[in-house]
Amino acid sequence: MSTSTGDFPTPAWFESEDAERHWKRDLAHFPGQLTELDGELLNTFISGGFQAVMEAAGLPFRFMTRRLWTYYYDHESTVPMTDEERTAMRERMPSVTERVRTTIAARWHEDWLPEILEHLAFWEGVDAGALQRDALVAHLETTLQRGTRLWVVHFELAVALSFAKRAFVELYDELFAPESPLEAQTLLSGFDVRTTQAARALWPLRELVPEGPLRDALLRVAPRDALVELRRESAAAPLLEALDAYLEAYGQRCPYVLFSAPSLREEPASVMSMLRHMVERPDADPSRLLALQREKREHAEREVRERLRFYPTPVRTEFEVRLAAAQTAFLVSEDHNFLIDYPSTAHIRQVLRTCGETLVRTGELDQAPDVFHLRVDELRSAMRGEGHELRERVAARAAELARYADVEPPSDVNKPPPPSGAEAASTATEETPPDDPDLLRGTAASAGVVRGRARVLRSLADTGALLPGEVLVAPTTGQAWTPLFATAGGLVTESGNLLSHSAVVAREYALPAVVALQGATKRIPDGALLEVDGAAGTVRLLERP
Amino acid sequence: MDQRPDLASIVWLGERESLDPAVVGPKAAHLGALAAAHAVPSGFCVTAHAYHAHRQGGRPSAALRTAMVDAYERLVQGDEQGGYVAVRSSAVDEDGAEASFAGQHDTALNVRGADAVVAAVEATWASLRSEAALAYRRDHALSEDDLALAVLVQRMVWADAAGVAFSVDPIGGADDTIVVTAAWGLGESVVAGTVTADTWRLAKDDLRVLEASLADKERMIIPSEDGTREVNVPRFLRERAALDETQLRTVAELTRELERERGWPVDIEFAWREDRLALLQCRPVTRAGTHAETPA
Repeated sequence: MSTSTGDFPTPAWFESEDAERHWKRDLAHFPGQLTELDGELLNTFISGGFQAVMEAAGLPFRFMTRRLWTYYYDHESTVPMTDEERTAMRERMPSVTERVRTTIAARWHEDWLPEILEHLAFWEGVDAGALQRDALVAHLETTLQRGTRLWVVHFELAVALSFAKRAFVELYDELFAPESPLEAQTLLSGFDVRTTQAARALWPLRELVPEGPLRDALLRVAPRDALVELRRESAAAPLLEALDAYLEAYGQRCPYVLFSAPSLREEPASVMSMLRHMVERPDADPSRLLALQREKREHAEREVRERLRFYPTPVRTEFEVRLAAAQTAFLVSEDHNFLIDYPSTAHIRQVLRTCGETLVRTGELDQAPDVFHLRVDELRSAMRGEGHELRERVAARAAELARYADVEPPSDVNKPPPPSGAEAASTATEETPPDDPDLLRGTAASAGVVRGRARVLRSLADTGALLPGEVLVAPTTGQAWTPLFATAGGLVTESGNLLSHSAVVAREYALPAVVALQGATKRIPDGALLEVDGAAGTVRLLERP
Repeated sequence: MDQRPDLASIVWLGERESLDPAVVGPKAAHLGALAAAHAVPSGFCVTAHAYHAHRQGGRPSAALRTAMVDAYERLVQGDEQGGYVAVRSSAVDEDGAEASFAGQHDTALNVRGADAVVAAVEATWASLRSEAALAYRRDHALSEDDLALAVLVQRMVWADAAGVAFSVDPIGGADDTIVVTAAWGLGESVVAGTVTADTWRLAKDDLRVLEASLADKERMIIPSEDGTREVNVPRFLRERAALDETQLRTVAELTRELERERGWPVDIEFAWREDRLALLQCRPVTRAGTHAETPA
C-alpha cells in the first residue's frame, strides 16, 4: 500500500513488513521531531523493554516504533495464537494481573527503586568528560546496556501500574456508576510526589528575589534570557547559587524522552518561568496546594467509606486493597517518571554529547550535538576512529529535519486492523460532534471551570509568553512543563487521557484541564477568550482575538 | 379499649412473655425461645396487646409511642453501627399460631431513629389491613377481628452474606440431609427467591458436603440510608461462594443443633457479618417446604 503524498514520500522502510503495518503517532510522548539517534534508541529501548516484559509475563502483545519523516510512530501487534493458546491466555490473565498489581509496593521498594537508584548513581559517579577515548567507548556501551535495562524496569512498572489503576477504577465504576470519571481520580491525588516536590523546592527561592532591580530584571526579561540577565546583577549571587543547587537536584530532566533535547539544567527557561510566577503570585504556595489536594482526597476517602459501609465485607475489603494499590501506583508512576525516564534520558544524553565533543576535538564533527544525527553503529565506528563521511551524513540528516520541521505528518499510516466486535460497536455509537463551532470537545481531565485568554505554546521554549491565569494550550505537556501549571489558569492539550501525566498533575494543581482535544493548538487561536470546563471536557471559544 | 396494665405492650426478646406466640406472634416467639442460647440480634416486640389496646385511629397512642421510643433508645445504646434496626411483622391469629400469611406484611429494614421506628410500626399495623392481606385472608377464611399484629424490632445486621437453611431436605424429603442456601448481602432476596443463590447439601451426621451448586449471583440487596436497595454484585464476587467452608459448616451445625433442641425439623434464616453469625428466624418445616403449625 502506498503512503506517498506530495509532502510525505514513501519511507525507506526498516523491514519489508513495515510497508503493510499500521503506524500511528503518539503525540502524548513524542509530539515533536526525532533525530536519527533518538529514533534508533527509542526503538531499542521501547520495543525491547516492552517485549521483555510481555515475554516474561507470557503475554502476546508487542510494540515497535519507527521514525518516519523524522516523527515518532509506533505499531501495536499481537503474536498470532491458536484458539487454545488464546483461551489459555484469557484464563491466565486475571491471576497475572492480580499478582502484578498486588505486589507493586513490595517490588517498588525491594526491587525497582534500588535498581533505578543504582543505575543513576552509576552515571553520577562517572565524569565522562574525563575519560580517555577507549574508556569512553566502554562507558558508552555500558550506558546503552543500562538504558536498555532501565526501560525493561520502566515497562515492568508501567504494566503493573496500569493494572492497578484500572482494577481500582473498574471496581469504583461498578459500585458507584459515577457521572464523571474524575470522581475516582480524586482518591488518587494529593500525594507528596517528586513532581510536585520539584515545585515546592523552588518556592523558597522567591525569598532571594527582594523588591528592587533584581526583581525588576527577573520580571522584565523572557525566562530563557533571565539567567544571563541575572548574572549581571551583583545582588543575584545568592539566588544564582540557590538556582544552581536547585538545577543540580531537579534539573537533570529532559522535557521529553529525547536524547537530543536539552535538560532543564542546560536550558532552564521553564524553571525561570516558574520562579517568575512564584515571585508574581505569592499566594501560589505549592505546599498549600498540596495540603488542599490532600484534604480533598481525605474527604473523598471518608465519603467513599461512608458509602461502602452497607456493602458486604468482601466488597469493602477488596475496595481497600485496590485503592491502596492504585494509590501506590499513583505515587510510583509519578516517581518513576521522575526517576527513570527523564533523568536516565539526561544521563544518556550526557554520555552521547561527551562522545560528540570527542569527535569535535578530533575534527570529525563540527559541533557536539551533531552526534544525535548519527546511528549507534556509526557512532561506535567513529569513536573507534573508523568513521567516515560523518559530516555528509550529519548534513543530510539535518537537512531532513529541516525539511519536515514545519509540517504536520499524518497521524496514521496504513489502516488500523479491523476492530473486534465489541470495539466496532463502541465505535459506531461514538457521539457525533455538535454543530456549534465554538464548542470544542476533549476528554475531561481535571474538574473546574475557568475563563481566560488562550496561550498557545507549541514548545517549552515559548514559555515566557504564558501570563498568570491564562489557559495553557499545548500539543502535550511532559514533566518539564509541570512548572507552568502553577501559573496557568487552565490547561488544554491535544494528547493524553485521564491517566496521562498532564491530567494527573493538573489535578494535583487543581487546574481545570481538558486533554485529548484534537487539533487544539490549531483550532484555538492564541489570545482567544476561552471557557474551560474540566469536568465536562469542553472548551468554549467566547471571543476570538 | 382494653387498658389492662398487667399486659405488656413492649416485651424484650428472651423475656418470659416473648416465648408466648399469642403475645408476640409465633415468629418472634421462636426467636424469643432461642435468644438466650443463640446469636439472635437483640430486640423487643410491640405486642399483640399493644395492637389491640393502644391503637387510636390506626396509630399508636401517646403512651405507646413513649414506650417504643424508650425501648428503641435502650436497644441501640452503645451500638457501633449507629442505631439501625429491622422492623418485622409477626402476625397472630386467635389460636396464637403463626398465620401462614406471614411475610405479607411490611418489613422495614435499616430503620434509624425513634421517630422512624414508630412510623415503621404504624405502617406495619396498617399493612395488616392492606387489600392484599385482606384478600389473602378471605381465601383462608380468617376473620379480620381475630387477628392482631405483633411487631418485632431488632438490631439490624448488615449482612455480608445471608440465606436460609433446612435441617431436612424440604423437597426430596431426606431426613439425613441439611440444605443451605446463601447469597451476598441481605437475606431478603434469598427468602423471596429473587436472586439465584448458592446451594449446598450436607450429610447431617458428619456435615460433609454432598453437593455444592454455586450460582452467578448478579444482584444483591444491601441496606441503604432509608431501607434497602438492590445493586449489582461486583464482578469479582459474583461467582465466589457466598459462604466459605467454615461458615457453611457453622451454619449446618447450628441448623442440626436447633432441630435437636426444638424437636422438629427447622427452617432458619441466618446472616453473616464478618466473623459473626446471626440467627434471624427459626421455624418448623414441612416436607413440602411450607411451614407447619407450631407443635404444641
